Amino acid sequence: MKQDHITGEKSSVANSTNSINNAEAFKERETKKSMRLASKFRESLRYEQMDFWLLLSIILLLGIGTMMVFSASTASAYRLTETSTAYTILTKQLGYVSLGLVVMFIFAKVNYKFWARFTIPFFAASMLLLVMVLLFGLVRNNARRWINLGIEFQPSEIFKIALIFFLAYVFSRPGLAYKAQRLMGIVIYLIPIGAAFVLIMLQPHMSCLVICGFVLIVMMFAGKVKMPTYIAIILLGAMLIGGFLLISHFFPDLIKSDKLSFEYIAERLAVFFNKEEGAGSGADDYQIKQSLYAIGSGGLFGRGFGQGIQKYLYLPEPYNDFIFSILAEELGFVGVSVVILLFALFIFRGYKIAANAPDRFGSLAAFGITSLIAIQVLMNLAVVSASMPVTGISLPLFSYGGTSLVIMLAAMGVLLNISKQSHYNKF
Amino acid sequence: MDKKVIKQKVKDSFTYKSEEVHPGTRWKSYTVCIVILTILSALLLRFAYLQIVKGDEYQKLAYQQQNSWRTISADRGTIKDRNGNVIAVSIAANIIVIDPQVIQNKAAKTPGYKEIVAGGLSSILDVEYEKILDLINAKSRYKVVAEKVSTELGDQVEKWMSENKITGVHVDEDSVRYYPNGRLASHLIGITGKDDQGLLGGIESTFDEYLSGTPGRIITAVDVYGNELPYDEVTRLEPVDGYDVTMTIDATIQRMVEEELKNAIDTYGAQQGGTIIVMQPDTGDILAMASYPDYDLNDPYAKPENIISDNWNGHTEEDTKILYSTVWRNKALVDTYEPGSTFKSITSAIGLEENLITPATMVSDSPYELSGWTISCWRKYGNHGSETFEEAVKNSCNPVFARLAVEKIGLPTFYRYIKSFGFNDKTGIELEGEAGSIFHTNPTDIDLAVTAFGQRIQITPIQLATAYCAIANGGKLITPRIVKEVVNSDGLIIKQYNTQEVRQVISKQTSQSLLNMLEQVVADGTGSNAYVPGYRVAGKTGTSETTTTDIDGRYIVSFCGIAPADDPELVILVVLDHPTVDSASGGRQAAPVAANLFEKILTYMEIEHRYTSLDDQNMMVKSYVPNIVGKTVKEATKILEDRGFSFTVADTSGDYDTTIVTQQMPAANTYINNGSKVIIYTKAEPEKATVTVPNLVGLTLQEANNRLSELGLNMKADNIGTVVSQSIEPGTKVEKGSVIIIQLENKDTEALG
Repeated sequence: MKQDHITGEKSSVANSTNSINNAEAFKERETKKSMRLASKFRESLRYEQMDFWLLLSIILLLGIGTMMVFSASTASAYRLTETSTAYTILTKQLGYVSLGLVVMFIFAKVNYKFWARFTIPFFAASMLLLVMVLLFGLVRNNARRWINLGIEFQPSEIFKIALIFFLAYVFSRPGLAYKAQRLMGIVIYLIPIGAAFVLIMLQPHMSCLVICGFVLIVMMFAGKVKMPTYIAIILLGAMLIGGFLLISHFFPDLIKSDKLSFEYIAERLAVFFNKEEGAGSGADDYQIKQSLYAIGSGGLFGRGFGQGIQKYLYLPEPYNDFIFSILAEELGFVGVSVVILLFALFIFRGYKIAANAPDRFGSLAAFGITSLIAIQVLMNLAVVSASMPVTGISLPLFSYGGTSLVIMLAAMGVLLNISKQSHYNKF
Repeated sequence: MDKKVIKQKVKDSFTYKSEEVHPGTRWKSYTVCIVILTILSALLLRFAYLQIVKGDEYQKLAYQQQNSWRTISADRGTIKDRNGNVIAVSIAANIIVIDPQVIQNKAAKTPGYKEIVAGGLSSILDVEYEKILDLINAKSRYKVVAEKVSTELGDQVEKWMSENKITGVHVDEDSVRYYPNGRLASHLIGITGKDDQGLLGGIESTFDEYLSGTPGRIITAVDVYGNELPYDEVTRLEPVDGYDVTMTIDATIQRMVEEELKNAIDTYGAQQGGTIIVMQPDTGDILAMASYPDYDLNDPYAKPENIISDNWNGHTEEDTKILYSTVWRNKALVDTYEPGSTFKSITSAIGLEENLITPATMVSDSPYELSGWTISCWRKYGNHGSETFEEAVKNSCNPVFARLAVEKIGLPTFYRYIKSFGFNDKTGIELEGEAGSIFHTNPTDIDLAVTAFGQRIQITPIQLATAYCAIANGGKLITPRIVKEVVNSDGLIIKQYNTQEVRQVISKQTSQSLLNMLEQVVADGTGSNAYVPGYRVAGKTGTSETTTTDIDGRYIVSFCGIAPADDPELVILVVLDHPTVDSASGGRQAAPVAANLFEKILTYMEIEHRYTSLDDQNMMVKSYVPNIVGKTVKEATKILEDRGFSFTVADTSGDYDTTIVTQQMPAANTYINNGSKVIIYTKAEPEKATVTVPNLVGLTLQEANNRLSELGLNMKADNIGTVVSQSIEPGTKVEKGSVIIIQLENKDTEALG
C-alpha cells in the first residue's frame, strides 16, 4: 500500500516537472530515492528493534542488582549450611541471572500473540498450582507458599503474570471485552480472580495479594471498565475486606487469621509510627531500625562497595527484601539516585510500549507488566525507607531468588517483544 | 451447521484475536506512568532526607551498635618509701566483661545460649548464675561480670570460650592493688575502691590524680554475634600508666614504730589505741606515722579484732561506720586530744622568746588562786616550793606555768604565739581528714592559765609534733612532708615536694635554751624513762584526763621527745589513749616507748652513740642476781624485770604460767652490773649454747658492754675508763650468760682522785 502511494506521488511529480527541467527532475528523483531508503531504515527500526532504553535499563539494573546480591550476601552466605561459602548465594544468583537472560531473549523473539492463545490454560494452570501449594506446599515461616515440583518455586509468583495476561485477554478479546467492561465482568473475571485471591490468602501471602490487588485495579482502569462499574467494584472490594476484618474480629473462631485482623494491622501501624524512636522489640521494628541505620550511614557517597557493616547480620536477610538498604549504605545517595533513575527509565519506557502497542492485548499486557514492576519497586523502596509498614516485597531485578527472577525476566521478554512490534522511536 | 463452520469456530478459538487499541490507551498509560514516577520522586526525596539530613544521626547510632567498646584499665602507679621500697603496687589481673547485645542476638538463633554463657562464667568465676543472667538480659553493650580476677582465672575463661565457641564475652586487662607489707603504714596509704580510685584519705586518695593514670580503650567493629569484622581494624587506645609516688616514710622505721606502738598498747592496756609520729625536724619529713588499731591493706574490710558481729561483711553502712571509727582512723591526724604537760614547752618557749623569764629565774610552785579556782602542783602535799624555772620544767609544776602565762605573757601575746606555732591551722600535710584544733574562743585568764599547761584544749598529734620540730630546728615552723616526689614510669620527676618553711616562730637562742631545759627533763626529771644511753634526749611528758569517754582509765599519756639534743635528728611523739595498767603517767608509759624508738631509730640511722660520764655512772650500779630456780617462768621474769635485769628464756615452747625454771645463768647472788641478761633454762638437762670470749682490751666501758651483750655475755666492772685486762682469756669458749670481770683504768679519774 505505502509503496504504491510513494510511486504514485513520484510519477505525478515527474509529469509536472518534465517540461521544465530534466536535470532538476533527476536530482529530485535521487533525493526521493534516498529519502525512501531512510524511511525504510526507520521503519525497520520501528518494527524489528526492541526498545533500546528498556533493554539498557534491564541490563544495568540486573548488573547492579547482582553485584549487590554478592556484596550483601558475603557476610551471611557462609552461615547458611555446613558447606556454604561466602560465594554460595552469588553462584546461585549468577545461574538464575544467566537462565533468566536466556529465557528473556527467547520470549523477546517469540511473537507475544503466540502466547496470547494460551492465556486461559495458563491462568487455569496457575490456579491449579495455587490449589496444589495448599495441599503439598512447604511450610516456611508459618506460611505455605513454596512448592517443590522438581524445582522449588512460589506459585503466587506465577499467578501474578497469569493475572496480567488473563486481564489483558479479557479486556481485549472481541465480544468478551464489551461484557467485561460492564457489570457482567464480575462474573467473567472477578469470580475466578477472587477465588485465586482466597487461595493466596489461605497460604497466607498478603504482600502478593496487595500487589495483585493493585495490578487488578490499574488494569481495570486501563481496560476501560465503565466508570460506574469500576467504582462499584472497588467499593465492593473495600467492603469485602472490611467485612472480613469485622468477622475475624468478632468471630475469631470462624476465621483464624493472624495477619488479616485489626490487631495485626494496628500493630503494624504502631511499629510504623514509632520507627524514629526504634521503640519496641518486635522483629519488624528491629528490621526497620537496622534498615534506617544502613541507609542513614550511607550518606552522600556511601561507605564504598562491599564496605557496608549492616549486612553483618544486623539487617536480617540483607540480600533479599532489604537489599536496597545495603545499596544505600554502600553506594550512598548517589547510588540510590542512579538506581531510582534507572527504574524510572524502565517504567517510562514500559508505559510508552503500552501506549504504542500494535493491538489492545499487547497494550494491556505491557501496561500490566510495567505496572507490576513499578508497584513492587515503589512498595519495596517505601518499606526500606520506613515510609510504609513492613510487608515482605522483594525488589525486582535486585532481590535474591531464583524462580521469581526467571519469571520476571520472562515477563520482560514479552514486554520487549511487544516493543518490537510497535511503531515508535525506540532510541 | 455444517462441518466447515464448526471447524472454523474451533480454529478461531485457538487463533488469537484482539480488538484494536483503545483511542484513550495512550492517555491512560501516561497518566499511570506520571502517578508512579511522582511517587518514585517522593521516595527519592525521602532517601535524600534519610541520607543527607539525618545521615550523621543514623551513622552515630549505627556506629554505637556496630562497635564494641571496652576499657583497659591503666596500671596504677607504685607507692614507695624514701628508700625505694615498694609499699603499694599494681599487679596484672583480668576483668571479665560481656556484650549483652551480642549474646542476645546469638541466643535468638541458638536457644539456650544465654544459659550456656551464664553457666560457664558462673562456674569459673564463682559469680551467681542469676546475676550473670540479669547482666546478659541488660540493654547494653558492656557489662562487667567480674573484675580484678586473677590472670589464671582469666586464662580459664579464655580456654572455655575457645572450647565452646563463645562470643560476646571478653577477657580484658585489669590490675589489682597489692600491698606487699600488709598492715604497714595502712593509715598513710589508704586503699583503692572498685574503680581503682583512692579511698580512706591516704596517699592512694590524695595522690589519686597522679597514681590513677588514664584508662585505654578497645574499639572493634563487630557483627551481631560479636565477631570482629574482616576489614575494620581494632582501634586500641593505649592506657597511660599512673605515676609513682615516693613517700618520706622509711619502711624500716615505720615497722619499728608500729611494733613498738603495738607492744606499748598491749603492755599498758591502752583501750583506745594510740599513735606515734616520727619526724625529721629540719625537713619536716614524716619518717613514720603509726596509729593503732590498724588494718590489713590487702583485706581492709575485715572485721576489727575487738568488734563483735555475727553477720559481718564489711560493706554495709553499719559495718563501714565501725571501720571508719576504729581501724581506718588515723589517730595522728583525725583525732584531737588534750596535750597536757607536753604543751608546757610551748608556754616556756613564749616566755623565753619574749625575755620574760630565763632558765635561772626563781619561780614559786605554791598553789595559784585565780578567779575562784586553785591551780596546784601534781605533788599536792609538799609542792616544789621556790625553784628555778629550769627545775619547774623538770618537775612539771602547773602553778609556775599558769603564773607565767597569766602574769607575764598575757592573753594577746600568748595567743599570738599559739597561732604562730600553727595550732590554729591545719598543718597542711598531704593527707586527708586532718582535724582542726579547739581553743577557747573568747579566752579569760583562767582559760589562759589552764591552756598554759595544756589542759582544756584540743589539738591533733601532728600539730604538736610539728610545733616540737620548730623547737628542735632553731625555730622554723615547717609543713610536715609525707611525699618527696612524683615520678613517671621513665623515672622523670613530675612533681617534687620540697620542705616548706611556714615562718620563724622563735629565735635560735630560745630554741637552744629550751632544748637544754627539755634535756634536763629526761636526764633528771619526769621524763627520765626516755633516757637513752649514748644519745642526748630532750622531751616533755604529758598526762591528761579526757572527757570524751566514761570508761576506765580516762587518761591520755604522751611524750614528745627530740634527739640528739645538740643536733636534733628526730622528733618523736608517743600518745597512748586510755592506758589501764598501773596509774596513767606519760613519764612511766609513753617515755619508755620513745626511749626504745630513739635507741633503735638513731642506731638504724647510724647516728653515733656518744656516751657521757653519766651513762658510765649509771652502768656502774650493780646488784645481786635473784634466785629464780623453782619459780614459774612468769614469776621469774617479773622478779628479774623488777630488779632491772633483762632475760632470755632458752626454751620458749612451754607455757610461761606453769613451766618451772630449772637453772639460771648467771647463778643466784652473783653481783653484776645492772641491765645484765639472765638466761632462764626450763629443762632438766638443758642444752647450753657457748660463745667465744672476745678481746676487750683497749675498749671503753660502753664499747665493752655493747660487745659482750651482743654475744650474750655479762660484764662486771668496778671503775670506768679503758679496759686493761679481762678475767677470761680471749678465744675461750664459755657458756652464754657467763660473767667476764674487766679491769679498767681511767687516767682522768686518777688524776682527779
